[in-house]
This record gives sequence, structure tokens and C-alpha cells, in this order.
Amino acid sequence: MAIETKNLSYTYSVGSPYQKTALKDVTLHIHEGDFCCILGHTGSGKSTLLQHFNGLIKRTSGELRVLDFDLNRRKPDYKSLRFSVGMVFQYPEYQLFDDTVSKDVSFGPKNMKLDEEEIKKRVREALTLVGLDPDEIGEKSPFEISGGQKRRAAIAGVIAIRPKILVLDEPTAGLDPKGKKEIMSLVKSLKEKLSPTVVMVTHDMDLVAEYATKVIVLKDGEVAFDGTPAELFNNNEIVNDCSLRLPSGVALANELREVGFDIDHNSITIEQVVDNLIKEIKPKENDNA
Amino acid sequence: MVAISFKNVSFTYDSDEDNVVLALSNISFDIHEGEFVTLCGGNGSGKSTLSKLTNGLLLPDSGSVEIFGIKTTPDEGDKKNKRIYDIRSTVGLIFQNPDNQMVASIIEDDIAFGPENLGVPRDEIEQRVTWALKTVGMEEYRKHTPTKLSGGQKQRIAIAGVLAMKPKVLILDESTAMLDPEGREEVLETVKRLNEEEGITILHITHNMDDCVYGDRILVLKQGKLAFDGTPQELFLNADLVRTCDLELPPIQNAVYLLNQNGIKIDDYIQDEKELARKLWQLKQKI
Amino acid sequence: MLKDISFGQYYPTGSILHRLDPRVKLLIMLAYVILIFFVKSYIGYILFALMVISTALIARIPLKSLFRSVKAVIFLVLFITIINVFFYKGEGEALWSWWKLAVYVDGLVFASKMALRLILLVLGPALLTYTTTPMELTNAIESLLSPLKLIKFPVHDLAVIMSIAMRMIPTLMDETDRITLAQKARGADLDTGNIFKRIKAMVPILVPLFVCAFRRADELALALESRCYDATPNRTTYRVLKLKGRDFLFLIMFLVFMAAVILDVALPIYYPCDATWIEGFYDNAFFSLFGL
Repeated sequence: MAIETKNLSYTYSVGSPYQKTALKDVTLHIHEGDFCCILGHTGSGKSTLLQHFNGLIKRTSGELRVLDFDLNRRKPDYKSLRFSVGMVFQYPEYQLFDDTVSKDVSFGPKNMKLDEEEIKKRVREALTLVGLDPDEIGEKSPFEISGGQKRRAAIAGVIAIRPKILVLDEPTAGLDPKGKKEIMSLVKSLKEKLSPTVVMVTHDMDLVAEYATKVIVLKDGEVAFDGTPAELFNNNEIVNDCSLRLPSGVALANELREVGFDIDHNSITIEQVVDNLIKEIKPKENDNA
Repeated sequence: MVAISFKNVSFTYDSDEDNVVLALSNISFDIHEGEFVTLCGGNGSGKSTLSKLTNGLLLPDSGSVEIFGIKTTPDEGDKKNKRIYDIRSTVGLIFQNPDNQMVASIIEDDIAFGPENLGVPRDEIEQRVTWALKTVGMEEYRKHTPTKLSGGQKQRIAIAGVLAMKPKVLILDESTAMLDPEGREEVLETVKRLNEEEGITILHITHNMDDCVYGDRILVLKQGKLAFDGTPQELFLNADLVRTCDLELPPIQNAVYLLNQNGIKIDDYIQDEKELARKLWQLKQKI
Repeated sequence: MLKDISFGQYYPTGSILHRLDPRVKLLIMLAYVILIFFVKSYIGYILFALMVISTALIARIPLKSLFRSVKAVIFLVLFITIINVFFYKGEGEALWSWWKLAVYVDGLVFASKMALRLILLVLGPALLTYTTTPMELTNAIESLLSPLKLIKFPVHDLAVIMSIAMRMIPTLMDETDRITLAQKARGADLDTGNIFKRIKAMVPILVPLFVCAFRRADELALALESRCYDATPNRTTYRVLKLKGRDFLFLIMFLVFMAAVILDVALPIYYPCDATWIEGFYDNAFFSLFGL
């Protein structure tokens, strides 16, 4: 089990006029190897939940377990937890600060108090993983590389701690289609090579359809849905209730079913639906021929 | 009447001598009053440079930019264009990050900023603020502070701030790039309404091809050159061009493309899922 | 959370004091601060204390919240009080003495008045910021400075600068929060170590913050130009402050208060103990240390 919560609740500014409940009795399980997408509108409690996962927000009520860390104990080891859960914030390129990319990437490993050799190794490894040349880009200032490279460098800075869980908050925000594709294939390869569990917040339902193995929908601080993307997008009640958008594949599949096609409910991306259609239309074409 | 006219415009950024970046080369097009044009291009295609050329924030190295017949470059012998503020109040520019274009902590004060600068009498500013807020559907936020608003709402306030200068052209310079899908829709619906009801000419600059269904004409920039100028329908039938410009077909067009690739021929322009489903069903019946 | 509404310590209750013209409040405050330096009798201090308390009541601000603003200066108050109690050289016999320290009656009187003055000096402006948003204060300053336009002082530019600063502070505060979280997630240790270590630990937060502020400034400059900033010297103003009945009412009430204080200051004859006040003030070496 990678992340496990039971009745996790959180309230901001307790006792002040600005008191606000952000999470209410959240119970969820994220398994090792999951690609879990967290959906929900602004103010649904997504950020609060995410920040619990690496101890940026300390658990106050309910149970929380992340990897081997039992955060219900009196004094949990928050420091080690942060080095096991990598957190990529929105627009991560805005956190770059050092004079070279390599130095910036070494910030995490240095905070882990690793020795020189190991730090160097980790920096090279992280830069290589995100597709930046450690010798060329590594020596440049993070302020003189391109926008796409900056975001990669920032992600390298997070994965240099070799997290077992990678948490990403809208990693594709503000990117053009090409950049978006590149970052998503990067996330996918990081999941295969480094961090087997990925938790991602996104507004892009097409990404959810394409990448997620598990979806959790938050609404007003509560879990409104927990299951697979196919289950979610074929459940009209939840979709309407949480005013979610449909992935374009599902929207097309629904229209196709309406006119009489038999489309598999597990087909949720455009590619899958098209494959389905080809099977539906093509064989007969062959028969005719 | 021609609202925006680019004639053989080239522009280079020369930060230092070895590092001359050609941002735009030999761009020519006319946008007529009342049009809704989408300008698409990937990162580094020069689309942001183009927007800054339209209101004189940047001046072309060669060629000319005219707004309703007024050149953005100063007349011979002048240091500064005497009519630059006529141009800037005619062409309203909305930028990417709404937080970086608001100047006041109370929404009505922010909207009044443009008219104040133009020396509009107080009573008229009052009317314009009311009108602008109403037009973008944000009247009830008049006395609020912008910090608490959603991205889409902030961007609508930014539009209202520009509208208060009574522009004839509105340019959205990637103004939807930072917004979530709801915010994007909110902003584009607002802009569409301005185009239809107020007759304001729109140039929407974006890297998202989904957005171009709001407009009736599309320009594509590729590495500083104009690669396409036509209707969205024409462009979608040319899927290879879209790909080489670092862009992506809207999902429904992508489906059509994939079907065509797999031998299911759909030659006509498909507007939405419903139409595609109907077409495919007919096709299936025929077989 | 408070910063979302307005940074600073604005305490919204919607009282008549909150709705008062900010210029009136600002002017009264200035007069209050100047006046308090002339007060020398306990009666004067009581007058001031009564004014502060009644104003707080009208503003519906709990006294507890109001006195919280004194917390920031409580050590300064205690320090000055203690020094004055022990080092003030008064006339007559000392009540208590040891080595170079001595406590005189005059010293006790002087120290208590000093403490009262400091506390009142903090409470007055606190009341202003509790009842007035930074934005309103900006408007008030612009309006009050506007006669300076005659001598070509760029009042308007100053106002725009202040307005943008007000607008940007909450945004930059959010930004700081975000960057801090991001660096903490990479294991940044901001809360332990000595002062030098902590200052060094701030670099990963300050650098991105500055980079961000400059980027915003660049974009803002473009937006200002696009919105015709500086288009004409005959710029108009949308927000016009107008004095209302309640403003005059408060002005008159304050003038009455002022008259009472001035009367008290001008007639020192009844308080012989304070006759040498001015000399005593400057004789006090410890006091001049604080530049007061």
C-alpha cells in the first residue's frame, strides 16, 4: 500500500472567523503501481489532501499512512517522509533558484545530507531521466534555458531525491500541445523507471482517460468517487453531480451508442473508440469484398 | 473596413550581437472589422511578438502594421508616434496572466484605470465601468477585490478593464493558456458575445486548436512564418500541416483523421460528435 | 486567510467609523500623534485614553483585539519604564537607592507617563488601520497630497505606484507561500539552526520570489502601456472622496477633544510637578538614546 487514509479531516484557521473545513472524512487507498488522478474543482480540497501526503500539512484528525510511515504516531519522521514522496507543484519552474541547473537539482540530495559523490551521481541521473544533458544544460543558468527545459529541470530537482511516490499538481498547465505530450511521456517513463506510484491532479479529462489506472473525485472536501476512469465516466450520476467534463473519447462513444453502435464501455480515449469502430465497420466491409 | 493590416512585417529580437532571433519574417494579412480570427502556433512560433506589434508595444523592423489605417510606426522625423494612444485605445490587449494586468485592489477602480488615463470625464467613466462589468457578466463583483476570484473571472475583469477604453479590436494574447477548461469556456463565450453583439473584432492567440471553433478564420504561425490562412474546416482537412506546426487537431478531428488512416473514408468536414456518429452509422448501413 | 481580504489588520465590522472618509481619519490621526507629544498631565492622558476607548467602542472593535497591537512594542515600553524608574534623578530624597540606582517619586511619575504615551502612540494608529483598508488610505494620501500637483510633484504617479503595491502584496504573499512549500517538499530546513543558517536557508525562497516579482513587473509594464498610461496630462480620477455629514460630526468631536487637551497643556500652573518637564525630558540621558 502506498497511501492509506481513514476518516482524514482537516480544518484551516480553527476558532477564527475564517475557519474552513477543507477535508471531511476522507478514506482512500492508493496502491503501489497506481497511476492515480485526483479530480475536483477549485476549493474541493485537492491541495490540502496532496500536502498531507508528504507532511507539508500535518495530520490533525483521522488516520494517515504513507509507505512505511505511520503518521498517526506521536512524532512521525516528516523529514524522511518528504524524501520518499516527491512533490511537483504547479508551474514548478518558478521555484528554480541556483546559478546552475546542476546545483539547483542538487538542492534535494544536499538536504538529505548525502555525500558529494552520491549527490553528483543523483544529479546526473535525475537530469538524464528528464532528458536534459547533464554536461550541457547542467552547467547553464536555470534562467537562460527554454520554458520546457525549465520545467524539466524543476522536475529533475524533485526526482533527485529518488521518491517512491511522485505527486504532480497539474504538470501540463500552460504548455502547448507538444510540451504537454513531452511532459506526460516523461511522467510515464519516470513511473516505469523511478517512482512506481504516481498521484496527479489535473483538469484535463483526456489525460485522465489516457493515463490513469485509478481516479478519485473530491467534492467539497469529501470523496465523491473512487474507482477506475471507465467506471467514472460511464457513471452519469457522478459525472453530472460533480459537474465533470467527459473525455473526448467518452463523449464520442456516447453519441455513437446513441445512434446504435455497440461501443465497449472500457473504450474511453479517442484511439480506443476508433479501434472499436474499425472492428464494428471493417469486418463487414471485408465480407462484402 | 480593414481593422488590422500587416504588410511584409519582419521582426527580430537582438538581445546581443551573436544572438539575433528572427521572430517574424515577412508576415502579411488583413483582418476586417467584425471578424473573429484565431491565431495558432506552438511555443516560439512568434505569436506573442505578433500581438505586441499590433498596438505599438513593438515596432516592425521592416514592413508596416496599420490599425484602421493608422500606422504604428512614428512619422518620418518624429521620435514617438503621435497617435500611439489612439491605436492603444482602439486595440485592447489582454495578456496571459490576469494577475499581472490589474492595477487596483478594488475591481471598479481597476476598470476605471484605462478611461482615467485617457482623460474621460468622471460621469462617463462611471457609465463605462457599469457597462463593461455588465458586458462580461461581473456586475456583482464591482466592489470586490480581484484576489479571491477564479482564473476565468479574473480574466473577464481584465477584459472589462480593456473594454472600458471602448476598443474596436480585442486581442487575447494566450489569455486562456493558464485557465482550466471551465475558465477557458467562460472567457471565450464572453469574447464571442462581444464579437456578435458589440461588433468588436477579435484576434485570439492560442496554442489550443480546440479554441478555434469559436472563430471563423484561422491563421497558423510556424517558426515566424505564416503557414496557413483560411477557415478551420480547410485546416482540419490538412492534418499533416497541423502536426508539423507543433499543434494538435481537436479530438473530434483527430478521430476523423484516425478513421481515414484506417480506411474508413470521411471526406466532409465534421463539426461535432453527433455529426460523426450519424455519418458513421450511415456508412455502416450502406455496407 | 486574513490576507485574502486585505493584508494588514483591517477589522471589518461596518461601523460608522469604518465608513468615515479616510482623509478625515488620517488627519485626525496625524493631529492625535502630534498632540500626544505635548501632553504632560495625567488628566491629559486620561483624556486620550477615553478618546481611544470610546472610538474603539464606536468602531465595535473588541478592546482585547485592540490591545493586541501593543504586544509588538511591549518590550520597548517595559525597557523604557524600568530605565526611567531607576535612573531618573529627581528632587528630594530617594525612595530607595543602591549603587548608582535610585528611585524617586518624580522618576515614577515620569516613567508611568512615558509608558502611557508610548502605548497611546501605538493604539491610535492601530485604530486607523483596524477601521481603514490600505486601499482607502492610499486614496486618502493621494487626495491630501493633490495640492502638490501645483508644484509639479508627481502625485498621480505616486498614487499609481501605491495602488499597484497594494494590489500586488497579497499576490506576492501567495507566491511566497507556494515557493516555500515547494522548497520544503525538497527537504529545505527553514526552522532550525542559528540566525546565519536561517538567513542562508531563505535564499531558495528569495531568489525565485525576486525572479517572479521582476517577471510580473515586466508584464505589468506592458499592461500599463497597453492601457494608455501616461496618454494625457489631463488625466481624470474616477474615485472622488466626498465629505459627508458624519465626517463633519467626527471632525467637530475631535476639535472639542483637541480644545480640551490644549487647555490642559496651556495651563500647567495647576500641575507644579510638571513645570520642569521639558528640562527633565532632555536631561534624561537614557532617553535621548532613543532619539525621542
